[in-house]
Amino acid sequence: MMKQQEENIDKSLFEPAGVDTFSAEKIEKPSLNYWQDAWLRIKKNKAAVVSLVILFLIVFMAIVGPLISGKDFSTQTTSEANLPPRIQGLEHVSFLPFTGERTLKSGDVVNPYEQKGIDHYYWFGTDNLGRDLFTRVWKGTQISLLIAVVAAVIDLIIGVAYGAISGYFGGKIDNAMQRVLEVLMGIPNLIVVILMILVLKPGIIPIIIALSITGWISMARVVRAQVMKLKEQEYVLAARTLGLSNFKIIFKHMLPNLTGVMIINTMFTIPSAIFFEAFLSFIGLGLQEPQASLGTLIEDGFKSMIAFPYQMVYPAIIISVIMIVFNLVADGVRDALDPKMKD
Amino acid sequence: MMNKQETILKVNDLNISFHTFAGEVKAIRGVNFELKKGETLAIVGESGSGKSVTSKSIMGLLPKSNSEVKKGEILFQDKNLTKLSDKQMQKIRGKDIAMVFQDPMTSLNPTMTIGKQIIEPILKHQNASKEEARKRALELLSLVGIPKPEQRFKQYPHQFSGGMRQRVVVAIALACNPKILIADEPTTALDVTIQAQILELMKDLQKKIETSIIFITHDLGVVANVADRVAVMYGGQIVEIGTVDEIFYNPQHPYTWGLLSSMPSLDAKEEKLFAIPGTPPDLLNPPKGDPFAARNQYAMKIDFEQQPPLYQVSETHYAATWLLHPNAPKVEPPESIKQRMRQFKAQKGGDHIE
Amino acid sequence: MSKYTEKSVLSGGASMLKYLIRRVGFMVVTLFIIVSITFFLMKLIPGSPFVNAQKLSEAQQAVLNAKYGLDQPIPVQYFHYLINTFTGDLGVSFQFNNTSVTELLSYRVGPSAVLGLQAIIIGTIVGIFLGVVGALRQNTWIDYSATFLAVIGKSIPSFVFAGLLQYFIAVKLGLLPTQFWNGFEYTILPTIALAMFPISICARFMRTEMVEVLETDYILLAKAKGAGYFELAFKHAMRNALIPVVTVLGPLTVSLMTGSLVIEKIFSIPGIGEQFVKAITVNDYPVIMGTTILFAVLFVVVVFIVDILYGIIDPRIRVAGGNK
Repeated sequence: MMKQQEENIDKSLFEPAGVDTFSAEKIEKPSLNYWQDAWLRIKKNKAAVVSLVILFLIVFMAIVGPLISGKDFSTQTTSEANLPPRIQGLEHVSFLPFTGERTLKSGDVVNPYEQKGIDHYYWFGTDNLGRDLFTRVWKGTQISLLIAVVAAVIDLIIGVAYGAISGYFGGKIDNAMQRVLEVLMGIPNLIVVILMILVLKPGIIPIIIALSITGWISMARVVRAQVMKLKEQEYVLAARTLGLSNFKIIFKHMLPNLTGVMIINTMFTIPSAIFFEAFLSFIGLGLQEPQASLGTLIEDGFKSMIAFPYQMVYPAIIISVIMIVFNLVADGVRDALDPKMKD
Repeated sequence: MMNKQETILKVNDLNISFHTFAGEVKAIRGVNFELKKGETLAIVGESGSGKSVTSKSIMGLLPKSNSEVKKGEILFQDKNLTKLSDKQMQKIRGKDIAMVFQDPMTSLNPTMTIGKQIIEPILKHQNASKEEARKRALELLSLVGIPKPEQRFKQYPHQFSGGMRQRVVVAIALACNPKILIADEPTTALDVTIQAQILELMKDLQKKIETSIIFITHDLGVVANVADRVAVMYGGQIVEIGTVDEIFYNPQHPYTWGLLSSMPSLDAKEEKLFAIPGTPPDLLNPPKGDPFAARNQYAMKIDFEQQPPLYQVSETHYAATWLLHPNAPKVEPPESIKQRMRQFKAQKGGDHIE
Repeated sequence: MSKYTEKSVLSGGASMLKYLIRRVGFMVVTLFIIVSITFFLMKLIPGSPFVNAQKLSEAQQAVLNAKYGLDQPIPVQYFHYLINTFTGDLGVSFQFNNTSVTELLSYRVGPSAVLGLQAIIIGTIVGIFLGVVGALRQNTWIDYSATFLAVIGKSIPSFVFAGLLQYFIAVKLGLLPTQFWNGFEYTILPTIALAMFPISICARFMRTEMVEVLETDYILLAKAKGAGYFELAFKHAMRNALIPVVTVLGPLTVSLMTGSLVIEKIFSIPGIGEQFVKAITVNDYPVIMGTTILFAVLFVVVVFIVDILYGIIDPRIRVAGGNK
């Protein structure tokens, strides 16, 4: 275990190196703030990034889709009902489903466009009332997204308020509010939503109300937990000592630190709302004609699924993609913003 | 006080790296030491010095997915532990070499009775029947000072206090009378009074069972209490090693000086508590010279160029510092260190220093 | 020392009892609230509940109203309603010629129960398996596939699944029946569709728990005692990881309820869900209310059982100790 080597080492190397121990205290890694750190971590999550891109595309199409098709979502042209999809330029690509042809039960392949002498194109085909599905699908996406986002925002406001108050004030107030919450949690959302729709009659606003009434609970819980954690931080104590009112403390100091959990929870609330709305439509409690949402379209499509599968397939694909993509992005955001996961 | 005892563990030129997203972290860079039968070797160092990695590597507990033994060997019972398969290591773990971890609150399985956790290694390694294992477990519980063992046997970890739990962990470790006990900061998470008890316990048991102990810690006070020999680690290397007297009273490496100076002492003359400035080195790109150079006020130019070899200070005392090179200038260690050295010289050749 | 242990066991027992009583109390309160909400919301629905109300004369409507007790003041109706509900009388269906709601429901419970149980059993077993495998082979393609499957199962709505399964497997490939409930093979597609969500929830949760457990000190200590790979994974890690997974049963039950509505509709299965959807379409209030209450009771009971179960499985709760 001994290494005794007498080398000829230049004597000058034994001069003091004049180490400045003060500069040794410098920290080498650049310091990132919370958001930069989170952004770096999201970027590393390929699934989340790809999903985010797809999400933007879908939102883009939801806005732009109905405009570019040149057709209206409610115009009925019964003579052009149940046409299969046909896209210019892709109609001769036989393995893609955009050729305007359909296969009958007998196995024959016919082209209704040619049969009826229709020379314009319906990119996703038409439904049983001759309405353009492309426009309806994107309009439906618009409405589904709108309902989901508005409901999520309302949930955010109610949930944050409830959770912050409950968590911040603690004690008896918190106890009481928590009891209420526990009981509310014991009531399945499904039931409340269905009952509310029955009472209010289906429509965009009632659906939004019904969704909001049940959705804020998870946000309230999460916010309360975070507020209780933040309450213990010293800067809150400092603010109190300086005389800041409770209200101001909650707003100025805690709220910015709550944005993380708020974003995460909202990212999960939106797909849940989309699902619920589609679900309601599917059982007949959704929007009424001629309004379209992804749920109503799937329900309509389902009725003629065997004969005209495309009528259900396109909205089904869109809603599935939206849900998958939202969930992946939400997962990515949560992993990125959760400080427990620091590398 | 140390006769020619047999060596039961020998670590030769151990080099271990971790493969991370940021690159290869060279955590252990050429570590050498021996462990003799019946002795307690303390490994001291800051967080990140490599002491935990060294101990885990002896037991093969480093995650296979990102750690790699790049060079070197760990010799135990004529085998090189770094080359053994996991199955072969399983026969050694818990039986010949056992470990005690730092945090007693998380070391025990919360859903298993502690009795079951103690008899586990006994059943596995010693072909005992359940009844025999239970008897042994009860013996062990008494041995580590837990009263009413029959009742405690059936209880769960959360029904024990921290100190008690650590005793249980010690009992588990000693269940099969291992040749080596590795204690990785076993008292860091405990109250000072409990600390003293656990240390007493370990010293006591060592006498009874004749285990050799590798004691990892950053607390020099604990070292003075239990160790026969001390190895000081920094930046993945052992920078000084010797008997406990030699290290405490005749330290040669500036890092050891720093460690000893930062120990609060009742008869210290200074008013400010000394702290070694700076932070441990980045082991992604380890410094090519003495790892401590950047924080060392006594550093010479050569400290930044070449790693110092281990210079022999006595038969049992070695230090890796260029200050021991014949060409090195004489430096004045801090006052408190000088005082220690004076004590050492006064008592040299005599017995243990109080 | 013995006084300490005796006291803790006693207080363990006492606090367990307190816990139980609390949970039962919650259950009762929640049920009461649900029943009341259901009642009042139904009362708020405008219009007459009777089919073809326009065709009936005033007198006929008055007779019907009296028969169903609808002409009495609301508090009285409420009171009767409460009593009836708690004694199991859920009224009489408006659409089915005076069949009692309870009777109707009891005919329909069978298929729904079978479907639900099958889905939960498959869901939990497959889900747990995927979760464990993903955790043991973290960050390999196995893990990514398992996780991806879980995301798909969670995201794609059950009715989309059901529709796709029905179309491709039943209609196109003709491998399994498309609708109705006449034998075991009729249950396969609906069960798969209904099980997707439970699979994904269990898989995610199990994986997260398993990963967390695998990183604990006590697993490392078990390894330091000489435990081998499979012993660590199954005897030590999985047992501990499974405990929190029990809490997932609550949301799973809800998913089964929502799922059953659509899946029974798609596959024309004569279950509770299908009847509920039909009742909604024709405003058959007693059936709607009765089914709502049934669902609510089911959910509340499951949550209660989960709470108790958790307390039993986790020794930290079952046996009260010194420090918690």
